[in-house]
Amino acid sequence: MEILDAHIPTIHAIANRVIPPDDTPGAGENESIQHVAEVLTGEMAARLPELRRMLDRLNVSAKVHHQRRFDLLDAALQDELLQSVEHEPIFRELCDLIHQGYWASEAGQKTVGFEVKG
Amino acid sequence: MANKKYDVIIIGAGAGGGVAAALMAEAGKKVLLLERGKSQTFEETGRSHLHNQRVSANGHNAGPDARHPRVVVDAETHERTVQPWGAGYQANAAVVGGGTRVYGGQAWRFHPLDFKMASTYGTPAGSSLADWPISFDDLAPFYDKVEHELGVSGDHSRMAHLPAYVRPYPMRPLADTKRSAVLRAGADALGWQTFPVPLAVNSEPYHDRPACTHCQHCVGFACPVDAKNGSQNTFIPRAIATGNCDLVTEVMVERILTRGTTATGVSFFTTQTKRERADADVIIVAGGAVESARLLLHSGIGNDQVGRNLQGHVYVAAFGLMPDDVWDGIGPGPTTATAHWSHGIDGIVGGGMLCDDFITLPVAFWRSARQPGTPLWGADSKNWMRDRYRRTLEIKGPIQDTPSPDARVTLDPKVKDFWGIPVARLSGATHPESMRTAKLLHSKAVEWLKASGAVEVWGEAPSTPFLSGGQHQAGTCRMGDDPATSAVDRNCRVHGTENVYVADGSVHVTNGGFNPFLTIMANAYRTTQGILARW
Repeated sequence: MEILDAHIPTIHAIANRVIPPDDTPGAGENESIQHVAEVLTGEMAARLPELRRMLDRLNVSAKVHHQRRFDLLDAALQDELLQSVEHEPIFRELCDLIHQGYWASEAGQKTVGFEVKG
Repeated sequence: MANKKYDVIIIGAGAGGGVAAALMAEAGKKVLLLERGKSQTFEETGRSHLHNQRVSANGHNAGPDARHPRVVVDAETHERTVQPWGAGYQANAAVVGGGTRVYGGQAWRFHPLDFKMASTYGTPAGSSLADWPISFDDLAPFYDKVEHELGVSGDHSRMAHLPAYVRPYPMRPLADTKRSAVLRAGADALGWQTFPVPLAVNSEPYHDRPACTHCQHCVGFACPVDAKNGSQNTFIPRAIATGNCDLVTEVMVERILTRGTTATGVSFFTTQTKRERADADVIIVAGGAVESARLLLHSGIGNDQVGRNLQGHVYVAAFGLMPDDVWDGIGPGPTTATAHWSHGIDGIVGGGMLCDDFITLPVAFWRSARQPGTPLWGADSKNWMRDRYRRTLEIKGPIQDTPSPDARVTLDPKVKDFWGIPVARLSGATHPESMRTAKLLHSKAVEWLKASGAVEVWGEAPSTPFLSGGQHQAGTCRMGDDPATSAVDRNCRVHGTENVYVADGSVHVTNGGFNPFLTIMANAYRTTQGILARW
């Protein structure tokens, strides 16, 4: 996933705001990120430049307004910045990927009560 | 291959090909059964929630693979090359067993009126709605044979929409779930008759294989205990056990070879460049409605009707939020159906069956059950899933498509597959009448959910005609007596040939308002017995 390496901390942080941890893990803490990275470097490779631009903007905003990278901000500040991009198609596509990876994972299954028996 | 001269070559080891292979081999014919996929174990198929035949945007667990692209032409005549997991590809599994390796196994007989659509409803302008040249009664004995030889669980005494069965299903219905009583009560309140969904899944040990363990990964996956019945564990082993059938996998058939109107054999690739040939007296094509049409077209066999009338099923689905948890994890899932809206609806062509669905994977729920306004991120989004996943009932069903002659498989003039064979080019859409039928059926799904106690109901009927096909693909070599309007005759022999037959859903004139595999198998049984009787 070299192509995304520089942005992985930001994507992890976004994933944890898309599906936050509570009494079950958030999306940044499990294998859903692997799915996101696979799709972004595969089927959705053509969308990578737009994604990078959005992630860069989030980090620039974080530094300008809060003097830290996006992933180092607390959750409330991260949410505030995400509200500024939440209507952008690339953000919505990223959210959908995060959801798919999460709900396919064991943590996601446990969260909704999908119990594997047999 | 030890023997390159056979009595019969069958192309495709799916629902129809498996039946044909068993009957031919048991009749003493030397059979070559060719399959582009491989024989795949449960372990090889896996249980990935992101790679299966139901959630396939990221790839399949049972093929086809990237060597098999297609070209899709959309309504605005934009064309694009798509991989097998891409939108519009119309994929069906490509392994031994075909779609039956990983299907859910809803084992429906079509309704008698499904065979008489034009004489019942007329032919809407621009459509190719027509009657079958055979009737339900012609097929009934073969439905019975398949139900018993394959293994189907159900309750024949409650199938009141059908003529009487000559004997019960070989197995009792699968167990009820928490949802069953809720849905039955709702239907009772509406005065709709319900019955258990017939399934090709063992409710008790049958033919030396065990009963279903009610796992949560049925449709889209292989069965962990082999209690789901498909071609791969019923008809094909029977064929091989005779010693008369060579099953050759991972080969790509290039074309049917002919001399005049007689087919003499087939050419096929065993690697990208190694082409082989086998000869036979009879060729049976059973590659599914897209690939069978493609092969005939590439072989220069058949008339202008080959490839037309591609259809599958437009599906409707509605979701209902129940006051309490209705998820108990008892698979496969579908237990309660109604055929109340299959036919006889004022102003509507056909109709369809409605029932509850297989256990829905969480990721599939996220993909299909979201409603407008569902939070896309944040705690509200997570809680939306947590609150609704186990409380939601889904009613869905296939509507009787009104076919269009312009919904079509042709050969793409530019794009070729891994072996250099022109790929299938898919164009057109189902007839707009299908959308009216879908809207009506959707309203009935909503009504059923509300009557069952849903406190909130959502989901929309499709409104724009699109090309249907997919796992229920049919129609591209339609059966008929007139070569001007059909591709094969009532014996499923390709018009204009002496010995080329089709034994898959391609021959369906219309595709019923029910899942089609049992009809594919029953008609393959009828076709093969007919060939043998005339041999």
